[in-house]
Amino acid sequence: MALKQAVVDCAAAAAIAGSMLASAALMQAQLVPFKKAVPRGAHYIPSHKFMKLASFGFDKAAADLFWLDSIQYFHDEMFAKGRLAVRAPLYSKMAGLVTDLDPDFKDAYYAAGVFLSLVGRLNESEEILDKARRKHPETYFFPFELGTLLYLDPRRDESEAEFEARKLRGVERFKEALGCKDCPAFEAEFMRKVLLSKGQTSAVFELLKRKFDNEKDPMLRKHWLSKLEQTLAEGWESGIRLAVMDHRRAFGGFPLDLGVLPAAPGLPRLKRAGRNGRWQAYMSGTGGPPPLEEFRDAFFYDPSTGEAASAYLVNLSDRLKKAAVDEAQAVFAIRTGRRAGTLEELYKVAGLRSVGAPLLGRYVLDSEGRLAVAGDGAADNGNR
Amino acid sequence: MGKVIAIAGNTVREVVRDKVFYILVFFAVLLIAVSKALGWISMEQDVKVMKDFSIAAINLFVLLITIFLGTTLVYKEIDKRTIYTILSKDVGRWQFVLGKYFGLLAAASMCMAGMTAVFIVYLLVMGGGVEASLFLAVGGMLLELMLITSVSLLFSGLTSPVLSAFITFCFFLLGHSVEVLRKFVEEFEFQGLEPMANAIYYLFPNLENCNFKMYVGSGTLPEAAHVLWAAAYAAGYSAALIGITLVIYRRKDF
Repeated sequence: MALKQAVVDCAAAAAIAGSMLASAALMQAQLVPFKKAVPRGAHYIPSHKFMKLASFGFDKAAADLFWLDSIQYFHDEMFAKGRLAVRAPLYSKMAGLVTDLDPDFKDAYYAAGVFLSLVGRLNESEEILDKARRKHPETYFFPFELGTLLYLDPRRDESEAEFEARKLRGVERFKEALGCKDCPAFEAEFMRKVLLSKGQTSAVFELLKRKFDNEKDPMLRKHWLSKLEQTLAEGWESGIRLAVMDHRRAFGGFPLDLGVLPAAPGLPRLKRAGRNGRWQAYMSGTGGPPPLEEFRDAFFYDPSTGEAASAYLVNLSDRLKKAAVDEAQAVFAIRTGRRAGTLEELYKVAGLRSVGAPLLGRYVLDSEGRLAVAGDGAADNGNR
Repeated sequence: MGKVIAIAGNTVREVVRDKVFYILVFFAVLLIAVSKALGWISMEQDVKVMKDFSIAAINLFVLLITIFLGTTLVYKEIDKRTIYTILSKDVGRWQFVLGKYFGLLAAASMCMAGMTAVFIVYLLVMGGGVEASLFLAVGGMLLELMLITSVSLLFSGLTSPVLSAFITFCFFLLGHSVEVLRKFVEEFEFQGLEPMANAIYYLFPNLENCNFKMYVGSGTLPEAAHVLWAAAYAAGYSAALIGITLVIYRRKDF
């Protein structure tokens, strides 16, 4: 009897509790639409000084909270609601606050820098990236991004002189990035090209030499050494071209022999050497500065057009092209079950686009389907 | 010394038996576990967010344990009149105070060590790496704990537990703000307030001296001299507060 009473009591209690919970759930469901309708008010961003005071030693956790809040809020405002112009300035302030609270929060600098430049807030993007590179001088990414922004961004509302000054600031940032230990090869190559185009050959050489000297990994040392060789060869090639043009201006025609070019700083001593019906000049003097004392190069020269080209660079370019062709042949074989006989076939079927078009005419495929220079073959590279 | 250790051991047992202790430890562990969920919504910053929130959770909950339990320790002894039993035996008041201090510090340190172990295991399971700066941050928290424990003990015998907890918490807030407050006054050139800001800066415990949480994830470590000076500061300030506590307790009529 007592057991029956207990079961009844339990059932009654469960029924009461269940019905109360169910009604609470129903009321909760009724409240949902009201909550959705409640607008999220103006986003208050406190000053970093106040937040430093109010975070009571939990600066990093506070920075994380602001970061989480900012990425959600601004994504919602800018991309879902499209209030780009209105909310973008707040993002800059938020990024400033987060990076003040946690100066080591590299991703906050990065996201803000990239995002602000994407939405056209270039000055603010520069500001945050500049702050990042000052705080983290060892990280290549910040000066690289800042350099890219300053150097590659089209002319804004600024005079020609200001535009040029901005580009020069970009070049300085590239130098900084190239000097960082963590700078990857691809970005380094891009910056090397930019700096060379701005006549910063000696600066590039010094930065690459520093990388070579500080590198312990043999593979990477080899990589940086080849970049040093490339830079030196490019400098020589450019110097020879300028000297040939000077000769033309002085004497009314291109020199017949590169050996007659006068000695000049940055210009190798050359002697004439005819080979396979093409004019060539070999270096007769010493090589480059350390660690390239042993480096020698030869130069193709056509006295009818005045064109001069480094054999080292031509070989390098050929090697890259050959590798691209071999790769394209593998793709071609998968698609057709045979090897391509002509470059045109490779170009059409295997998508040899990157080096495809320039190859047509100057190069052919040999009997094994490999790339070969049409005519007299690839150039020799001095004594290397 | 044996009596100090005996009182300290007893204090640890007393703290461990308190339900508040387990409730706070439970919430700390819960927050550590939840930190991963915060990481999911943080754009590839999950490990960073996990570390920051877990360290903050450990710091906050150990602080709460110290405040809640520390401020009631001596009060309970007085309220239940057990202090008379202890002091009527051959136990000096200094031994009683030191025993309570080291007991509370040991209990809070053990709790912190346990939370840190849970956090590190969790971090490793979630694919994060353990770095020296994590241990340094925990070491900094221990120094902070030394200071806060001495503050809580000072007020534990003076006022009611609620007021004592409130005052200790204010010390914690002020301890983390004295540096910024002083900078504020300097920066905004509040001429008249400078002496007061300087007095607060030098008189109140500066807990930011022991804050090494900023080094977590930065890839850098503070200089050894910085850490040693911080340890010396925490030990010196705590000793001074315990000295004051002893003077007060000597005059008290238990």
